[in-house]
Amino acid sequence: MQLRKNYYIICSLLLSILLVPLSGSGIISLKWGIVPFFGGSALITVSLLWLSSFIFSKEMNSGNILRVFRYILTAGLITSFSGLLLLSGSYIRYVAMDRLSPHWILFWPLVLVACLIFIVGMYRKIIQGNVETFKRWERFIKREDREPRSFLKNLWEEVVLQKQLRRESHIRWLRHVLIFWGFVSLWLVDFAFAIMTKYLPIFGWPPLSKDSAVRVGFDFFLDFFGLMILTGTAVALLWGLRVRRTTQKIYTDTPTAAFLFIVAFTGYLVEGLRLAALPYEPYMGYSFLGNFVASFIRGTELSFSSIHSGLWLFHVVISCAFIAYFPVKRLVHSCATPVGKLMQSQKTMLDKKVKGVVSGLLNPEE
Amino acid sequence: MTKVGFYFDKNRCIKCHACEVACKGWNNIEIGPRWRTVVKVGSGTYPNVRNINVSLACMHCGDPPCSSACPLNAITKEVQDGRVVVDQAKCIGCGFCLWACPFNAPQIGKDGKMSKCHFCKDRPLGLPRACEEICPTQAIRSGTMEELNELVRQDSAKRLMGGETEPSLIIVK
Repeated sequence: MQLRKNYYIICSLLLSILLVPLSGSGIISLKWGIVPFFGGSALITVSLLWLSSFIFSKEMNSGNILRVFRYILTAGLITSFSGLLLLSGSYIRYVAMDRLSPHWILFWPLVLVACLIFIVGMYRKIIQGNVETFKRWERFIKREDREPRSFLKNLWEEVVLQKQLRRESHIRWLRHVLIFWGFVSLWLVDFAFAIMTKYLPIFGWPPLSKDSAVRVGFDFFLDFFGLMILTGTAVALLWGLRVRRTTQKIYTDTPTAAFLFIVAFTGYLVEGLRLAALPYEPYMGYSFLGNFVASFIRGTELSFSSIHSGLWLFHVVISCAFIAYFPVKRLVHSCATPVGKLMQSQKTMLDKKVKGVVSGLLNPEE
Repeated sequence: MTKVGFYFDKNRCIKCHACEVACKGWNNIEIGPRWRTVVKVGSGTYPNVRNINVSLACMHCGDPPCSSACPLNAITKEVQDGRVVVDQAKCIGCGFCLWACPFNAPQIGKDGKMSKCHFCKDRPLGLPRACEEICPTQAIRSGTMEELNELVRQDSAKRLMGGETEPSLIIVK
């Protein structure tokens, strides 16, 4: 195990030493950073979806499913890691050529570090322990006992709608849904926005004009989902204050809510500063929250370049820190609890596990 | 470290489920989670088939797999008496412990937190646990492992070899 860990570290260092100078010198262009980054991210997503074949199919044996999962995950991690290194090198070159503002030089390196910490942390907290659990009880878990309908029911009712939480407490449900779905939706829309407005044009795709329907749609939904996060975190902070001296405080996580509130809030300040530096145009109204912030700044003496860069960098640093913070404390529940809810849907397997264990302990010779 | 545990005589168990009810009543557990469960296990091969009833709760294992599986180290083993306890402030209700536990002892409540047998922590050692007190046939006994080993010696029972998790359970064969 230690040998494998050292192997990964050495390979990562070699890749870093090789790829950053290659893209930094222009030998490998920006395109060849974008493709592996997004391609690798897609592979990682596919590997996680692949695990569900344990529930939805009985074609492959369980050991092979895990093996294929490891291969796809490893391929995805190496590809996206390489992509991030290439993007870092390319952006350093663009800053040196004055094609990008200096604050961009830190963007991809910060994203790389944050993603590494996130992935390693999540792997250790969620996947590693459960793989050991699965191996321990493998002899009692039969694929014939899988319950795909319960799996889908739990996915819809407990992961998407979070019905149990709503039954327990409406206020906890409201703030949770606002934050969870605001964050997931914002992340997905931002991903699509970056691809369509920044990266596809590099491959010859016609760029979206600022007032096109697709572009203003993105502007609107980015602000809408961000507002969901702001509202959810504000509700969480206020409720946390209210119950801090009661037994309900075990359901609060004030540091995380405050952290996320600051990330979202600074994001809108940055957007407001950006919009305020430009003459007002009707399409800006679709970024309703950023435009609202800009309305206080436009026409004042606040300088775009002096404050915007610093605040932009601050926002990037704390956003990346938030991503890295995921596996550290209770925020790990955002990934762990949905996985757990889906695992708990397999009641027949759980039942057979305990009966198999007890039967084996009572009759070791059988 | 004093280690507490349970002694269970399967030959006395009549599957009345009184232990389940007493546990729920004493610990004021909501509808749904069951800290103690009586399971029926089939044994033997035809024609010598028999059913065995076993009353299961948290076995306060020597090497608790639930503790290793917990992503936030919310489950720990008390140094003083060996009870395995959960810190609800840390618990995120992921349920990994439920899968890791050989006995399905962890229960996820409606509030999304895990709860389980804590060996009636509000009763001093020396007094019977709620399940032991109610059992009409004295199939369940509790105490320190030294006391229970003494019962083993007296009753000529065999200790349950728990394998890798070392459950604090003696079961009469």
